[in-house]
Amino acid sequence: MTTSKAEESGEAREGKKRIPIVSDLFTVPSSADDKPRLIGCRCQQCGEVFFPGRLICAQCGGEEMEEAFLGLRGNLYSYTVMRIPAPGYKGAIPYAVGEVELAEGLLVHSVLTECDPEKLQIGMPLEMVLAEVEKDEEGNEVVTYMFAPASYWGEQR
Amino acid sequence: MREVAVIGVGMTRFGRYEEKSILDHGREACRGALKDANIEWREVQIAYCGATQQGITPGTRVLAELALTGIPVITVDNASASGASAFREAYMAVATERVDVALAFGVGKMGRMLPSEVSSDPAEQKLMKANVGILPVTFFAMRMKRRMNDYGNTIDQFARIAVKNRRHGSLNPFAQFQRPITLEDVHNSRMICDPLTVLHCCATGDGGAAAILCSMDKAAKHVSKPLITVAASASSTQPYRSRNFPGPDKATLAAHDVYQQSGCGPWDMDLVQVHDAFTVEEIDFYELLGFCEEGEGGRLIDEGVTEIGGRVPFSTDGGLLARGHPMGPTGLAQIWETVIQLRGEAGPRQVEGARVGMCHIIGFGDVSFAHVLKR
Repeated sequence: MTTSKAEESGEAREGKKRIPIVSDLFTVPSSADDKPRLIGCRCQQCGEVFFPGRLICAQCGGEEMEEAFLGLRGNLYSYTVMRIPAPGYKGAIPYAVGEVELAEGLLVHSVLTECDPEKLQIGMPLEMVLAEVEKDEEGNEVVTYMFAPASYWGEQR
Repeated sequence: MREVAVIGVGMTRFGRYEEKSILDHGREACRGALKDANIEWREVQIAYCGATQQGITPGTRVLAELALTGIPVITVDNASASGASAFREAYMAVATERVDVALAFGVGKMGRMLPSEVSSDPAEQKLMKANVGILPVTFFAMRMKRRMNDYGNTIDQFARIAVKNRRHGSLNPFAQFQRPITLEDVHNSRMICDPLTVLHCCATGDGGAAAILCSMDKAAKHVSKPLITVAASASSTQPYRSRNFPGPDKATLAAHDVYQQSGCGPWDMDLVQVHDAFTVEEIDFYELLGFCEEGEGGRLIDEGVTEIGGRVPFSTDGGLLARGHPMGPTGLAQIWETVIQLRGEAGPRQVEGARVGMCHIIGFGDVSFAHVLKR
């Protein structure tokens, strides 16, 4: 993972594909107009939202869940700059990790695309992007979700 | 339910022991507790072992070092709270008159615990894989930052917790770390994830701890020291919090129960042991356990309230930060310290006139255990 801007389009360079690091947790858009989303679920009985998805509603006990696409936007609830790599992490050090409050009210966690503490502030708006974790044997990009400063943030400051 | 006495405690000095196994630590801790209780192993009628990530049925493997005697031996795993779980089960076995004499012990030999080792379930591993780059320590650094944002806590306040607990630990021959440290030492130690440096975290280590519990009539036959009794025992799990948001924490339910059971409130405690794996946790617990309002925790450490010699000392044996945290035995090390203090045997770290002590501990997976012991 790098801290450079992540690409939005489904096709990586040179005809290689973008492959999610795990399946059914987030979408990998196929066109430049689509944004990546987290795949959670919503209880059809009480409306509670969950990420990751689950089978039984923890709020009301209902068992009718529908897929919910989350994570377009959020605010930075907290963050830290990691100085040591977690096992399996292959990107540049230092890197930032954030606690993100999604627009749906859920708290999720991810690496952030921005790691300069001068540019991070609790409460700042974020948007979800996909970023490369590593390349597989065929040269495809293996990606996961991260959060980046919202593209309109710079203009508003 | 009848009253239960804690008649003996034993522990090993927590630390790194390449050559020793949990069999060694468990044998040493159990023999220590039996000797302290002036009771024979063959008089114990049930045994509970608190352990996590130590392989299959560590309880029977350890007790085979003494000899299996035919009594029931149960291993319980509640992560960091395993030892306290074992203690609670032993307490319940005696309190409900199932047995007269029970052994609770904990063992642990902790390597570096990786997130992937926490669960081997593919569904649980999924999120961890997608979140590659995030460690357990990351969450505590983010918690510190959030407290600094919400309540104006300073890095010095968190560092003071480490300094205090290391000072307490230096007065405890069984603590893993015996050398006091300064604020400077904390700030200058290696940065892991800002603002959290190495000295804000407890270290991994190995060890064992044990306690013998029995009925009051049996207790009088074995010990002449002041009788220490269990005034309250409770456990709880963190109820589902909507949208995964932080809120009143898993600590409060079990703590509330023991305050009710014992008839003692927070400020009636002469000493308190908590799960201070990270400095920020102890400040959180000042609030969660009802010693002050939300956001006020920094004031308690600033004013020396929770030092030995202050109004209500916390982590008198050095806590997880200084005494160590092999996970399985930790909850029983809290009990060990409380019993030693209530007996007046704590030497240079003695809390004057200690009569009532609380042990509170949490475990990964949102479990919480609380006990109140009194003389």
